[in-house]
Amino acid sequence: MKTHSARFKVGLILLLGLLSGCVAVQPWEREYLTKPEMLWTTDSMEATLEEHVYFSKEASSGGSTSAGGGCGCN
Amino acid sequence: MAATKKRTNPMLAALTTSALALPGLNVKADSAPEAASVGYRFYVYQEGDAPVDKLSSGSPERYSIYVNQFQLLAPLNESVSINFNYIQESMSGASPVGTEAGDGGESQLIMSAASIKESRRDVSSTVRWYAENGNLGMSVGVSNENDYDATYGGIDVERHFNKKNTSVKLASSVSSDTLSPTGRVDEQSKQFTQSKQSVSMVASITQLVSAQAMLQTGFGTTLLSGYLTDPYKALEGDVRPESKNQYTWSAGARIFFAAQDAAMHIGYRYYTDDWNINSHAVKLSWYQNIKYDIQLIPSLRYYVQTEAEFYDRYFTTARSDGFFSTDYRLSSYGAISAKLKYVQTLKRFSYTATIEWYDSSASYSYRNISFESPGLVNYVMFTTGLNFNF
Repeated sequence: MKTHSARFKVGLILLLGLLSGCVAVQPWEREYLTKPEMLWTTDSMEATLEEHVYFSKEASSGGSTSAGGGCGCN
Repeated sequence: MAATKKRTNPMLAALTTSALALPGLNVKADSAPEAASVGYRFYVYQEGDAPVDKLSSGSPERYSIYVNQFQLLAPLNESVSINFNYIQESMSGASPVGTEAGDGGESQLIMSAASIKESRRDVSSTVRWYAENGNLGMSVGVSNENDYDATYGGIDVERHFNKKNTSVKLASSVSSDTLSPTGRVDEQSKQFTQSKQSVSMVASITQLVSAQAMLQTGFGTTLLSGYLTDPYKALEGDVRPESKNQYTWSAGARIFFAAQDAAMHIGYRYYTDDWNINSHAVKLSWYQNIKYDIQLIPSLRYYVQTEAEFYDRYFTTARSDGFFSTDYRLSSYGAISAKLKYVQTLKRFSYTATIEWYDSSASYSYRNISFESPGLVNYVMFTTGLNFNF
């Protein structure tokens, strides 16, 4: 168990080190990155409904950071 | 130390100021939206009829659903915003109850009667606090049907690092649901009532990788407990375990193509659970900006899942663990979805219209599936709506 914990910590440190070593994109270089179509969720209303439909028709769900309740969907 | 006066290039100062004024470029702090906005969507969801030649009983006319959805997002001050969401659904039609053996050994579909009429109302609200290098959101909501109630809530926190090149987000949510299926009574002839609970956690990390691309990856888990059997399907034979542990790994990319004035979205999710269901979902979208503030967004989604360990098209002998289900949603299959969205912006208004086709079939799976469930769904969904920014 200790070995797994140590490996996880080393992995986390390496990941953060790797990310901090990534090419930094300066604020004045972010014109394209800040466009509305580059958002992770561009339309929160439709995303909510889409997630609800897939949740009710497929066996798998999850991965979203938004809260939601179940339904009696048949 | 002698004071020195730095010379400032006025052109560079002007460019830097204008760059920092762009939304999202403010490296000082996250902040609430400057103005309130409202949105409305109307959805028409229509499932294709069940195959008559594979119908054992019930109606072939599957669900039609009409949905009204409202959203209000408003800043309370520079560092706090609140949003309200309201969803109202009206459903009618028949739904699959299960499958059974036909005369020739093939599986036959049992449908409900077509008289099902239901409605669902979902009200939720989120308050979000914005700080120097991140934001925190708290949400609560309730969903009510005549046979199903859910109360849910969640909290999420996002922190930016490395001059906002890296962001880490943690989110957790809970839901407590009560089932009271229509027309079903317990041993004391009182309304049959059951409950279930879920706890979800997701951790994700986002990294800018160039001036035109960013990546995101995350892990999530949902732990469900309580009555996880479908109370209507249980009448025809459906018993499921009282716990389910779900795990997801997701990854995504956003890439902007300046020459085409378009953005590409790529998303992938791997799912596994202790009912032995595994799935892959891949989604690709292309956001094409066109003249006159028009945007066209075609999307494709591919989904494939394996069946639950206690699923079969029908049972001739009882399983040793006592669990069994013929629910098509727990079967092995693949699904393809194609969507086309149109967005037109006119000053403070934006109009949106979307059409989605969804089709599921055993033949869409990359695996070799011997028996396809006759209950697999296909549907068309139309969406139209307006947004207004105050």
